[in-house]
Amino acid sequence: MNLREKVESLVRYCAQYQSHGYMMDERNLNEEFNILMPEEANIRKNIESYKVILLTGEAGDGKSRILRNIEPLLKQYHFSDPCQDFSALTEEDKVRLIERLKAVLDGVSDERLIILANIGVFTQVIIQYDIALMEKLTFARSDVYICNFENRNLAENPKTFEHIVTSFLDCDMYCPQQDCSCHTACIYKKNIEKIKTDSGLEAVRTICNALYLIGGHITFRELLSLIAYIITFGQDCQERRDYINKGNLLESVAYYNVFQNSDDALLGKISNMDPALKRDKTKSYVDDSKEEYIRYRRKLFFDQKDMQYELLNIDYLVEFHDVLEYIDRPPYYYDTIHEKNSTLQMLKRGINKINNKGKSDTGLIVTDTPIILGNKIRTEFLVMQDISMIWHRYDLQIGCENRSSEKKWNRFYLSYFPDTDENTLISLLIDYPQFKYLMMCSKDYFLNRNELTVEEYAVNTFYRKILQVQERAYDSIVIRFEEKGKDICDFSLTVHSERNLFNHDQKQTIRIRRED
Amino acid sequence: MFDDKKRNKATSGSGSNNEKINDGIAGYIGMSAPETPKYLLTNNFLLDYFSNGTEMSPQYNFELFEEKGVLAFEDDINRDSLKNSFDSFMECYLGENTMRRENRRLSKGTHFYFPFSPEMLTENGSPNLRHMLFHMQNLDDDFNYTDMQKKLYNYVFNNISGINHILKILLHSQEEVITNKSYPGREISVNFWAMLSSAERKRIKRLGENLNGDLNTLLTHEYFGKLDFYRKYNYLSILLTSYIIQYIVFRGDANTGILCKGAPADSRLNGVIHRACCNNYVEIRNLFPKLLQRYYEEVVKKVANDDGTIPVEARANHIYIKEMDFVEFATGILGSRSKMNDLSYDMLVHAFSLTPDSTTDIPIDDFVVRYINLTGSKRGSVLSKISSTLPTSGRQIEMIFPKGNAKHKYFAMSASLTEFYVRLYLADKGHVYDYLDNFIQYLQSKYRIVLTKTNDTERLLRSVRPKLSAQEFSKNKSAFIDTLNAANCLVKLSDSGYVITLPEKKGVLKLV
Repeated sequence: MNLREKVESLVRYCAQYQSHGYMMDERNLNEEFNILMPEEANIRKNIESYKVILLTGEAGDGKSRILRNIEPLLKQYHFSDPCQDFSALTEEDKVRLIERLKAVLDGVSDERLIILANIGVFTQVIIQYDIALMEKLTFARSDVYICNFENRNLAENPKTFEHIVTSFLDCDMYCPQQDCSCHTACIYKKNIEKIKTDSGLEAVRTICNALYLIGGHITFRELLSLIAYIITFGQDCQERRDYINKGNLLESVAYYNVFQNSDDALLGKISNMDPALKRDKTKSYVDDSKEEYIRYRRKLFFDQKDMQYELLNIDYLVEFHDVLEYIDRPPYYYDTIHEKNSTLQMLKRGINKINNKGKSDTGLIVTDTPIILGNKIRTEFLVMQDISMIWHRYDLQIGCENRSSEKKWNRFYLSYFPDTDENTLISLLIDYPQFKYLMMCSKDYFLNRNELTVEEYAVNTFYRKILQVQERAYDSIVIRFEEKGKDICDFSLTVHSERNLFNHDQKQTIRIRRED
Repeated sequence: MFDDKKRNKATSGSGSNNEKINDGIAGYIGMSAPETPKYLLTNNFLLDYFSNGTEMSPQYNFELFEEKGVLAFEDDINRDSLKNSFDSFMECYLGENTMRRENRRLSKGTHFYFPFSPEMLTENGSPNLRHMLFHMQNLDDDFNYTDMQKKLYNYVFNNISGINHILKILLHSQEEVITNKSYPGREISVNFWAMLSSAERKRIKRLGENLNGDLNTLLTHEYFGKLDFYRKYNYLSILLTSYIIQYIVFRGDANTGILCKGAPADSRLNGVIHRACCNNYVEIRNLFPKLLQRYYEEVVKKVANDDGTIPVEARANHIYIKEMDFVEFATGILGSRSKMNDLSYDMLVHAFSLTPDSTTDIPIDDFVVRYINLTGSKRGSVLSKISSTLPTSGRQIEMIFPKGNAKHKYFAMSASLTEFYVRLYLADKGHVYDYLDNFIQYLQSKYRIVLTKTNDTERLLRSVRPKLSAQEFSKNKSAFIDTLNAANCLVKLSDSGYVITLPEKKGVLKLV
């Protein structure tokens, strides 16, 4: 495929291009462009042990493609006819399939199943039919392979990502259109060459990874669409010539302008990350025009391989990325008291500040003020000092060894292991919004509000759950006043048990003490 | 002060002698005014099951507990500041501040507390809602008073979680008394609902069954039972208040739904859907003038001529109806409570299109409509008092907005109300989580709360104008999804698939 043909092919992947509707058919027929994704490789490797393969995700995630690729293998291992689209089944057929699935999971059927489903529809039917089945499915089993593409990060593995991009852009860089006005300065060619460099590849990967880290999901189709857009900006050769003839500059369709404002949902998210919007201490060489500064910052992002996360306009992205990398290393969990990682210490301080409204004690003091009473008089519980908790990987389950250590999650947990018979952790999920909020708290960003934020509520709920399993947690409370008027002081109330040594009667009284 | 010699006050559950039994209009409509705050409604509801055992609630303060020997302090120097601080703490944590902040008209001489024990319930001789909820429960054929009493006791009073642990030690330094009331029988409720038509009775009976079902869930399920006292009491109060709104909707007719905005303030919902919601609210509120009209027509019939007209005479600057002065007629026959003397002769002549110094025969329905138009908007009128039950109850549970005195109100799902319904729904189903669409369907089929377009939406919103398009409903659903997210009850599966769960379960939920 020469350059011109490649451009004609790429442009059809762009959501902005008029023939975008053909994209799916075109790709499905394009047998030459086929990437062996880790999910498919995993199925090929372990198919012998799988009784159930469940692939869920959005349209464009590549489920059907995987199915088409492994079809001969499925026949070889006697899988039943695949369910290609769970949503398309009738209600009766859905229930029938779930019954078959249950029979396999319960070990009463030798059937082997592969199901492709929309995650929402599948979950809805499971809940209606047998909610307990979800637990059976989600507890890691060696004979069940669940791939929820919603959680897949295509940018996770640099090699896979590079493979996708370079295969997708692969072409003979020769253009037969000798009479083209852009022939000597073909911007398509420049864009492709740049994206294929180390820093270019890493820049696109950083964009995709950042989307995943902040809680987004990019499908395979969207990734291809994004790459195609960075190269073509949705214009084929003729449109490009017309564009230039209208007096537009070629520079405006250079790769780094992917950060330009856009109405497209995905490109809109990317434009919010524009390095030109980031306020930081990086010295720029420019005192020139705004346009030059914007161009400089955007180009810098594509050129500086080592500081790409820093350059993106997302608060605390570097810290979040680094702390996830840190937690992804063995042993995958870290004690909160001994841990010296600076970001984790900041998170701890942030949690303390949520609870203590500005104080930054290192011990964890818990407040549990009833929301309906407002926050003018708070109640604190002191039992939490020196409590042992851990930061740990998202998929670390007690009593379950099948942890997929290759997966890089965009969230992690702070957990407390209660000293009870139940083998469960009490956990606070720290995803990007929670992380950002805690980091802001640790740096004294306080917003004046009447109600708890979602993030504060999560911390509050976490501590309340811990208090509930702590013996005698509520035996001592400190009452603190937000505003101290005349003759008002903070005080503590403590349960005091008096035992009558002669008749063994026990009497409980409350001791009050000043606590300023 | 503490009354150690509590009496065994086992009295009948409902229908206290102090109740305003003569209040005809209130009797016909089922209520005379809203109960504010919602905790007072719960207080009154609990008094249908428990007696407080005392004539007057004592003031729970430093001196009282010190005198009882249950509060000890070692530091005499700080006595004054400790005493002041402790008393402030008590006023806040026993609920008195909250009660008074939300209702400034509460009697100054009485203490209103959250009931940590039955003795803390406050007797209120004439509750505005006239024990309506109890009578609603009592219509249910399967209603078991003693069972409900036990469950209420366990839920409200038998609780030592959280800060309640210390409060209980302070408050329980007195003798236990038997405070259970005895079942007053079914007849009392049958009489209470005597004003209903058979279709209305059927609907209210179904509502009573729903209320009992929800109460059973709330009082027994761990999703509520394991919470601290304040949250439990708040949820119970929300449930009871929500049934006042449900009563107004169900009493109206068999079809009208509550078209609810997915969020109280969302710029996506400012257009057509806003107008539709405001119109829907007006339609629901119109129950009151409709009932009032029906009631007045019945009453006025008694003084009407044989041909079904009311003779209204304008004579010597006075208006007479069958020789009875108009004011006397309004207060005596129609039961008006507003200041009728404010109505001038000219106003009355104009309102009833009378000819001076002559008698005009006005058909009953025409007379009633003119009378309601004349008096209905007056401050303190029967209609304005009773009608305020809807916005006031809605404001209390954050279901009707704006909260101020804005003329155009609408129903909307706030985060706090949404969290309550999610909790109730999951407890009812016995699930840790469920699919969002199932929840939305449940709100519609059980509570007539309409948020999105479903098969039944058309029937429930038949009379709502303007008609809403699928796109408008879709925007409303998006706003509701944001509300669920703000309430910490939402787990996103994909761009179109969502699961609802409890805030405390959200972080640890394992799905596919």
